[in-house]
Amino acid sequence: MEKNLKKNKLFKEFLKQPFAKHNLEILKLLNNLRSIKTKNKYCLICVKPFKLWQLAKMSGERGVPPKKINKFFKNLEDAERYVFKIRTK
Amino acid sequence: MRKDTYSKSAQNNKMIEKKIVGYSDALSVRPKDKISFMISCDPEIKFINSRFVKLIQGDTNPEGPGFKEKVVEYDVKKYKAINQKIYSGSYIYIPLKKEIKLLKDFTFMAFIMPTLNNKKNQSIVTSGNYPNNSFDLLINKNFCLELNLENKRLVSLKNKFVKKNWYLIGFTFLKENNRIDLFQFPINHENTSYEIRTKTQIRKIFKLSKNIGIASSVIKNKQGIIKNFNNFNGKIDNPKFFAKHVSHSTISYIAKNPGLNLKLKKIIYWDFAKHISSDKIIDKGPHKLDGYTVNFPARAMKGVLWDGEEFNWKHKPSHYSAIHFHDDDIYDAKWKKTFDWIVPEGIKSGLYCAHVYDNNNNEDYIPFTIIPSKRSKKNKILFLVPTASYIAYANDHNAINGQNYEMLMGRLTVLQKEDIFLDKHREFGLSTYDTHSDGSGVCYSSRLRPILNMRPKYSSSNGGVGSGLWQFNADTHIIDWLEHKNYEYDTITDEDLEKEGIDIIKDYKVILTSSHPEYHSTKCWDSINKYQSMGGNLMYLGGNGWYWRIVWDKKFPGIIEVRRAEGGVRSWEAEAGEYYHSFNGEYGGLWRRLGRAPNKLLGIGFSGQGFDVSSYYRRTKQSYLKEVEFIFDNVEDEILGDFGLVGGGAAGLELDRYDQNLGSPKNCYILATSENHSDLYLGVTEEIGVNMPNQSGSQNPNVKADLVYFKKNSGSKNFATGSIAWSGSLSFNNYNNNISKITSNVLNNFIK
Repeated sequence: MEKNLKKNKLFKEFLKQPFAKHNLEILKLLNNLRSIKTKNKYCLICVKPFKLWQLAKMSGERGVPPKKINKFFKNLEDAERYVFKIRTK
Repeated sequence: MRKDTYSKSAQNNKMIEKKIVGYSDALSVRPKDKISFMISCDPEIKFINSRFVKLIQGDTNPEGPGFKEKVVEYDVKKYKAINQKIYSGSYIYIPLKKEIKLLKDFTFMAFIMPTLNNKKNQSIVTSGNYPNNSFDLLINKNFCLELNLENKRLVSLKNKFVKKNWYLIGFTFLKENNRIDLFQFPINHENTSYEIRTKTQIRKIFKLSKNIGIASSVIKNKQGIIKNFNNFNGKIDNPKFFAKHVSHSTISYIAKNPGLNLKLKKIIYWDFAKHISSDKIIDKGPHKLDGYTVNFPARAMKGVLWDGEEFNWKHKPSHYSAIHFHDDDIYDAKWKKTFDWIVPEGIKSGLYCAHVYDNNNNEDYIPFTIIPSKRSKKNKILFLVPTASYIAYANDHNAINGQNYEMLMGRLTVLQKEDIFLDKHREFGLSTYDTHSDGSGVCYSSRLRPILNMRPKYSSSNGGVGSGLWQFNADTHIIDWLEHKNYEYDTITDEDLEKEGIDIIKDYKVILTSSHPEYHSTKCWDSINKYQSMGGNLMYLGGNGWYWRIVWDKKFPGIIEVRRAEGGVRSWEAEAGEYYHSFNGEYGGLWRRLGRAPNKLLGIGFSGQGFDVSSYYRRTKQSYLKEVEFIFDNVEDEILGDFGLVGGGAAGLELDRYDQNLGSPKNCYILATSENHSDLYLGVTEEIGVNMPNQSGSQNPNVKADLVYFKKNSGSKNFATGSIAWSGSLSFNNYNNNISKITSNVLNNFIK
C-alpha cells in the first residue's frame, strides 16, 4: 500500500512537469525506462517544426527507418506523458 | 525579411522528405572570389531556383526571435535539377598504362583483418572495370575467401573469417597443370584453422588490365570518373605479387613469422608504410604500379607486425603498414557543379547561404562565410566561425544511431527529416561522433559533401529542451544578437585561421567565439595564444571550448582528423597504439592531456555536461568589485540567465569551470557561478580516477559554469561564459535581459 502511494507520488510529479529537475528517485525510474534496447523503443518524428510530432518506434538497425504510429502530439510534454504511461502500465 | 512558411504536406501530417541537398567547394570566400555550389535533387524535381541571402537567425522556434535572412541578390536564377549520387567507401586506385599478363608462376599474398560480415561481396584486390573484372580476390557473401576470374567464381574456401583477426590470404599460380591454390592462414589466433583449396586446368589467363582496385572493385568511365563497388571493410597490410609459386610450407612459415622478408623476386610490392601522411601508394616492384587512396581510408593504423613495442608510427612505420578501409568513408562527393557565385565587391563580411528551392517547398540552405578582403579596413569585432567543430559534428547520427540517447538527453528522442535521411543515405558519410559500419571510430570528417546538420532551420536533439540549438544554429543567435545591437563585425573560419595564422586576426580589438568551439588545431591554438599576447581581447561565449586537438590535412582541403586518445567525453575511443594523427604525426586527444588545458587560454575548462534542462548563474561577491563593475552596468539582478531557448536557462549543456590546478590564471575574477543543475548533469569523464558515487548535478561540486574575467600583462582582456546555452538566452525579452546586457557591456568595453 505504502509502496503504491510512493509510486503514485513519483508518477504524479513526473506527469505534472516532464521537463524539470527531477529528484534522484524519479530519475532512477526514468533511467530504467529510458535505457531499454533501441529496437522498438519509442521516439518522435518531427512533422511540423515546434508544432507537431508523430510517435514512432525505432528499428535499432542502421538504415532501417523508425516505424510510424498513428499518434500525434502538439507538444513534447504530452508525448512524454503518453509514453511514460505506456511504459509504466 | 522573409517569414518562414511550412508546406501544405506538413500540415497534412506527412513527413517532408529531404529532396534538395547541396554543398559548396568552400566554407569561406573573399569578395571578388568565386564559390561553387553542387546540388542534387530528387528525380521528380525538374528545375530549382537559387538566390543568395545573408543569414541572421537560423532558429525557427516560435518562442524565439524567428528565422531571419536578408536577400543579397534579388536576381533569382533557375537551373535544371539533376540527381547526383555519392560513391562512399574507401579504396586504393592503381591506374595501369598497359596490360600485364601473368603467364608464368606467381603468388599473391596480403595480410588482412576483416572487420565486418555484411553478407555482401567485399573485394580485396581486383583488376579491370567492374563488373568485368579480369580477376577479383574477395570475401564473398558467406564471409569466406573467394577467387573470381573473368567474372566467374574459380574457387572459394569454406572457412568463415572471424572478424577483427589477422589472416594471411592469397593465391598461387603454377603454370604446370595451370593450377591455382587459394589459401587462408590465421595469424596469432586459433579462431580458424588454415585452409587451402586447389583448382587445376585453369584455361583463362590472369591479367592486370585498365586498373587495379584494392579494397574495392572499380570502374573508370570515359569521362574519367571512378566509381567503386563491393567495398572491403577492414585492414589490409602490404599486398604483393611474387614472381614464383610459393610452397604451402613457406606460406605456413610466413603466417607464423609475418615479419619475414621473403627473398623472392616481386612483381608488385605495395608498401603501405611509405607516405603514411598522404594518399600516395608506392609500388616497390619493377613495374612501379603506384596509386593513390580514395575517400580517406584510415592510415597510421596498426599492422600485422604491431606488437606494442612502439606507439608512434613515425618511429616504426613498418608496424603501421596497415590501411583500414570502410564502406562509409567519404571525402569528396565530387558532384557536378550547378552554379558559381562571384562574391560582390564591398559586401559585408558575415554568414551567408545559397538558398536553393523548388515550387513545392523543397529547399536547402548551403551556408558559407564571407571573410574580409586582405586589404580592406577591418571591423573591430571578429566572430570566429568554428568550422572545425561543424565538420567534427557533420552529419552526426547521434539521435538515430546513438546508444541510450534518450537516457542521456533525458527525454524522448526527436528525429528530424535530416536525421532520417542521413540514416538511410549512409553514403553521405559520418561525423567524428559516429562509428563506421564495422564499429570502428570515425577519425576523419570532411566538408565536401552535403552537411545536413550545419543548416539554418535544423533543430538538433543534442540541444536541450527548447529550440534544439547545437553548433551552427546556436551560433546564429550570436550573429542575430550582433545584428540586433547594430554592431559591425567580420567573420572568418577556423580553416582561414589555420591557413593564415595570426595575420588574419591580429588587427581585431576583440574575437568572439561561437557557442561550442570544441575542436582546434595546434596552429589555431597557438594563433589565439599569440593574439592574446599581443593584447587582443577574447570573448568566449560558449562551453567545452578548445577541448580536442584536430589536424587539417595540408594537401586536401576541408578534411580534419581527430584521434580520440586516452580519455575525455567521447562516443568512441582510439585503439591502443593508434593515438598519433596520420596527417602529421601529432599526438591526439584532449588539449588538457596535451598539457594545454583550455583554462590557460580561456580561464576555464570543461567540467560537466547534461542535456535536459538548463540552469542559471548566481553572482559572486567578486562581481561587485570596482574592477569589474563595467560588466554589470545596469544589471541589478543577482540571478543571471534564468531564461532562454536552451533548456530554459543560460547555464546548460556543456559547462566549464575555473580551476587554478588546470592553469586558470590567478588574477581571474569569478563573476558568477551556475547552480542547481539537474541530476542528468554529470562531471566530465577525464576527471574520474576513482569513480565516486557523487557524479551527478545535485551532488558534484564540479557540475557548474563559472563566468570569468581576467586581464593579461599584454593588456588582453578576456571574458568567458563557460556554457553552451549562453547564446540561447541573448534574445529573451526582445534582447532586453541580463545576459544580453552583460554581453554588450563587455563587448563595448573590449572594443574601446
